[in-house]
Amino acid sequence: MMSDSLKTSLSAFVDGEASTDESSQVLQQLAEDEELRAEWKNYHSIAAVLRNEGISNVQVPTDWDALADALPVNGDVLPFRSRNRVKNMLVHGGIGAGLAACIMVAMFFLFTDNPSESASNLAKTNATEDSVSNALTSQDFAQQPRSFDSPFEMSVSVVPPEILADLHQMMLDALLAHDISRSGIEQSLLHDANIISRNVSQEL
Amino acid sequence: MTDTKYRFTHPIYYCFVIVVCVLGVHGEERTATEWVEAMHKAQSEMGFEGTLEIWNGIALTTIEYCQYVIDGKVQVKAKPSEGPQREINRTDKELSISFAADDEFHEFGNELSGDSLSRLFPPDIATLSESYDIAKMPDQEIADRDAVGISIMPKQADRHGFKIWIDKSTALLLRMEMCDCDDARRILSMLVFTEIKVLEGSGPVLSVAEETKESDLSVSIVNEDESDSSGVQADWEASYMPEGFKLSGIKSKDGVLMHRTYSDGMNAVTVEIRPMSTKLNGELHIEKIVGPTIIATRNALDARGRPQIITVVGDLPRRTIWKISEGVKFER
Repeated sequence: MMSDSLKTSLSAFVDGEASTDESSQVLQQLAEDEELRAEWKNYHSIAAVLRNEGISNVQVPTDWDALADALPVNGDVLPFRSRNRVKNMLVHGGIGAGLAACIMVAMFFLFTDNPSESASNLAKTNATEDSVSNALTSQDFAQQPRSFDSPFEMSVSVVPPEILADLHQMMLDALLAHDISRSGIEQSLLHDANIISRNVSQEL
Repeated sequence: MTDTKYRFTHPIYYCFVIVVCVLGVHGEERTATEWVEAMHKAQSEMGFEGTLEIWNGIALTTIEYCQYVIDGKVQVKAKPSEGPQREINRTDKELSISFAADDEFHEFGNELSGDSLSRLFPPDIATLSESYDIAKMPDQEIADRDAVGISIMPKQADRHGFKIWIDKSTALLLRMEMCDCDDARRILSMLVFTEIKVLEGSGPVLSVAEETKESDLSVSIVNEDESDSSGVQADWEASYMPEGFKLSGIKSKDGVLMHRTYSDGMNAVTVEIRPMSTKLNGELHIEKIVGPTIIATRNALDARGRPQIITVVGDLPRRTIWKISEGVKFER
């Protein structure tokens, strides 16, 4: 399983924002790690499709070590494309959104004897749009997104595991039900394609 | 001889030819709205097969997609070229999905099968125009075809926008991008045909009925609205829904309403209510972001004080999703 730090480094490398050392490390890993090479190709394939180019044009280098040797001693590197194009793609093309897509924000006010006290520590949600929006964008959550499992692990001593499993299951069911409703009701190829491509274990 | 030469060189004939050309070109020039209408018509009347790439905000998937029109009715077959092998077969009345044995969706199939869905919302450009600005964009070449670009951007920032490219010769959809309503340059998801072939004739008949028996998931699409679904117990309603969204589908289980799907023709949201076995002493809010899709879950008590879980799923901005969630009201 690829580590998050390696993914981040690869992202920076593709983004053209990796330092020489980081690039060298990524290139070394690319030479050894097939999974990372697949991820590299995936990033470039997405960029190619977004640019309305065929993914068959995406060429995977065969000699990563030689590329690592060719890195400049100082400064940033960009072995495969111009910085401006990649930067533009990441900012406006959506790859950045894709890489950050699996963010999960959770707010738990569970099993507390004094909910108001708990709520004072975290953003309390009300029925108004502004308050919900504020809660979601508060520093506690928006700037420190946590993985799906970590809040549960933190709460596992007080929240029964079967409830946590039920909640997870409900969300997955709702997602699939939504996909199926759209494909069946609206009958568009976009929704058909959504069901076909949905990969929950990667996406959640 | 002299007369003939005179006829084709006289300025009045040049003027006539120019007028005919101008009128001809103008006559073929569709407005953005007319292109969208032509696309809806082509998508429901033409057979085609091709390869499309979908980027769902996270991963890129290549799909072999076929649409056949048989006796005026559309049948669709879609399957990925690699990855988990799923296959969709869809007709006007039925949707069946086959999952491979090792597919993570395999276990979900049975639970979701068999309940009714209603179909209320045919594409309605006039209604669409109330919520979206529809305008032309520069043409592009896609899948070796000339395509006209159309932007469908929301008038309110409570839903996302779209950019589509339509084949000039057939009016079939070639490319579609969902764009962030706060920054239209940011693509949230996208599909594009890399190859497409228009089929002459009706094409092969898909044996949906037979495949349904063997598939893991089968959904009947019932052409009725919720008011006709007598016997379905509904003790909740979504009191807030963005303008233009209409109820487009329901799902019930054992006579109890499980979810409602609302759509404005471009964007959709599903509200699902499930009973919770244990009452929680406090508030629970969970949000997951899956590409452009937001899943928001919270706990609530119904009108009888029973614990319920409200889940809202949709490709809408998170502020809209949470507003819909907070607007769910329980009734006795």
